Amino acid sequence: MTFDQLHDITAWMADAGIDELELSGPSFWLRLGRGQTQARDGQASAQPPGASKPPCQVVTAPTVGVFLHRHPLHAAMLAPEGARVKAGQALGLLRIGSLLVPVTAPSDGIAGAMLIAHETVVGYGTALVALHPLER
Amino acid sequence: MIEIVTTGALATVQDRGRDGALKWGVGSSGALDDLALAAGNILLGNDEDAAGIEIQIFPFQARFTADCVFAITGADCAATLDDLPLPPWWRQTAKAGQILNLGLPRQGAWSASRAYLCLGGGVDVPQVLGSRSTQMRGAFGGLDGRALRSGDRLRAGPANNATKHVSFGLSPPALDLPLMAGDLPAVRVLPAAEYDQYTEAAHHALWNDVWRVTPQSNRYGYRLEGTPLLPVTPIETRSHGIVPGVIQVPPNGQPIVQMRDAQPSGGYPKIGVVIAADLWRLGQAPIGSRIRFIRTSWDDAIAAGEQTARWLAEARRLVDLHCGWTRSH
Amino acid sequence: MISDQPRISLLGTSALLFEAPGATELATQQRIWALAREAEAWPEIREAVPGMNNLMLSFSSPPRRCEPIETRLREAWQAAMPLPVDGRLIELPVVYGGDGGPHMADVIAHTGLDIDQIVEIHSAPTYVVYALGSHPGYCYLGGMDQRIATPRRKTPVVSIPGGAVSIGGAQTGVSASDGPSGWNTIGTTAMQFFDPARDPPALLRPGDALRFRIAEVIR
Repeated sequence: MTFDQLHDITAWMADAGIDELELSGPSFWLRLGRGQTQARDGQASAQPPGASKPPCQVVTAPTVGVFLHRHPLHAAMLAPEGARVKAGQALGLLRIGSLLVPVTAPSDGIAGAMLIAHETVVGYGTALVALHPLER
Repeated sequence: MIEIVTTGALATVQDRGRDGALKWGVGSSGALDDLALAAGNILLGNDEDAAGIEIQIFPFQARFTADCVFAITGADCAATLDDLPLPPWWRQTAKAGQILNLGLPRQGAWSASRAYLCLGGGVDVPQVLGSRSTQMRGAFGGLDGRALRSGDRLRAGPANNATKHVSFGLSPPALDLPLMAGDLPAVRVLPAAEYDQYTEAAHHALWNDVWRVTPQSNRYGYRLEGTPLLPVTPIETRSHGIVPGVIQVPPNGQPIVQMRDAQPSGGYPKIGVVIAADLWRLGQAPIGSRIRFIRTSWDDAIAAGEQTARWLAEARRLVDLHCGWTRSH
Repeated sequence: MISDQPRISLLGTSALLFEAPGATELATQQRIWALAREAEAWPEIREAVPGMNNLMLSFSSPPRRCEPIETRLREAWQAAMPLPVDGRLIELPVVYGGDGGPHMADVIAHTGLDIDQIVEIHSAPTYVVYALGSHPGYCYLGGMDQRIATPRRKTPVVSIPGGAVSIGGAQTGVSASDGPSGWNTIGTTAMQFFDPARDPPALLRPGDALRFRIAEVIR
């Protein structure tokens, strides 16, 4: 993960109206907050009471490859935004030659927006797709 | 390892086929889509002669009775493992008790009719005359020489790396190695011994007309329907060895392409032969679908076989890299 | 088509077919056996499978060019001497007619002979196994008396049982297992022709001979 990518992700968070985001990859874990100039120790003041939603996660590329939103045989996306997905389910695919490596949901959740366009070459750790927690 | 929960008819254990038994009247059998079976074995790191299950009637359900790594290839059947949807041409690990369900083949970018279920280590049935394929006519090979039934249990051989809980897939060769003529799927054909004894109209029809796959098509042969192919004068041939792919023309002029369960000899005249590299395409053509024949040359037919072999070799290389496996050979 | 030159044709990229010239006869078939024995030792050949006065050679992998193998095959044919196979003689008891011979009436109607004449003509010769094919353990036999030749059935029978003795055109044979057939079944025998656990799995091989012994005639 590079600072450029962080910049892209915060821009996307602004577009999507997401305030807080959790990112994890094979070798890192990161939590991003937006619109709050104060340090997080003043958290109670920044959010209305009772609205502490669990953070949205970003699923990153487990390898380099061409990011696919849909299986090459299918017209429909593997995980359209808003779809409920199971832990281990493929949200997208990375194509390396004829190999298709899944970008899997780390937990049950609701598929969020794609952060990278269909058929884009991506590197290891690139943020690919958001995963929202299930409503409690 | 797995127990068949529900199957229509005609699911059988198949490997890449039985070579070297023609002289006893034993046909080759083997997977109709040999490329899909080979890809399933590659996904699992299996030996290339490992057997899988060929499924042609859906829905199909199997319960894993032990933890098991498996792969599904061939027709895109909206597979699920319990309630987890699986992409087509996919490798997955199942836990004991989980149920794999294959639904009706989806018709889309690639319309196909047969699915393959492969197990890590291969389906463990005894080799008979050098193969695990089910020989239906001889009632041997596969599981007791017959099609699978509900309640049947099949073991897997020792898996190459059963502890790897890693899922991934392959892009189907139908997309990587497409072959269309106009807007229809096609197969390449070399003329056979009696080709020159057919009328010009028959030659024209063979190469230019559309051939419909009739409901009388199965693992023995694909009976096609189109303009009748007629010889200039009736042809007499003596019984001789034949191979899958031979296009026989009985007196009614409607061609029959011999498939993997075909008998190893015949006496009907032969107008052409579907090349070995394209038999999988025909083996996946659904009943009622339409295909075309493309005339090819020996050199192009050899090149087609090499192209398929390269696709498989590259898939094996990528899978090996991805898994970090090392094989002793 | 009968000419004096053998004909070689391709069976796709999997095999080629060599067809001997002339009428179907034992001396030619003995040369086919000799050719098969030689060709099956060639490295590019997986199997040499005799048919009726012809030979199929399946490739272990398709050769880049076919001409060399065709030339070699023609030369080997020219040099091939009839290979007299020292075969065994097997006797098969046959129950002619009745439920085990459902098409005897059709052979009677076609030939104009009566059942006793048909049985006598059919059981008289010593038949030579020319080749195996069709289904596991099935033998193509040479030597049928042409007086009882009867055309194949217009509509094949969905399944005839193993052991069925039948006539198709100028040939006769015995089914080794249940299966579809377009031939006319005139009797039945109990012999087991194929067992995959046996080595070799087929009871008979080319060059063996077969006699049908009349066990019973059901009129």
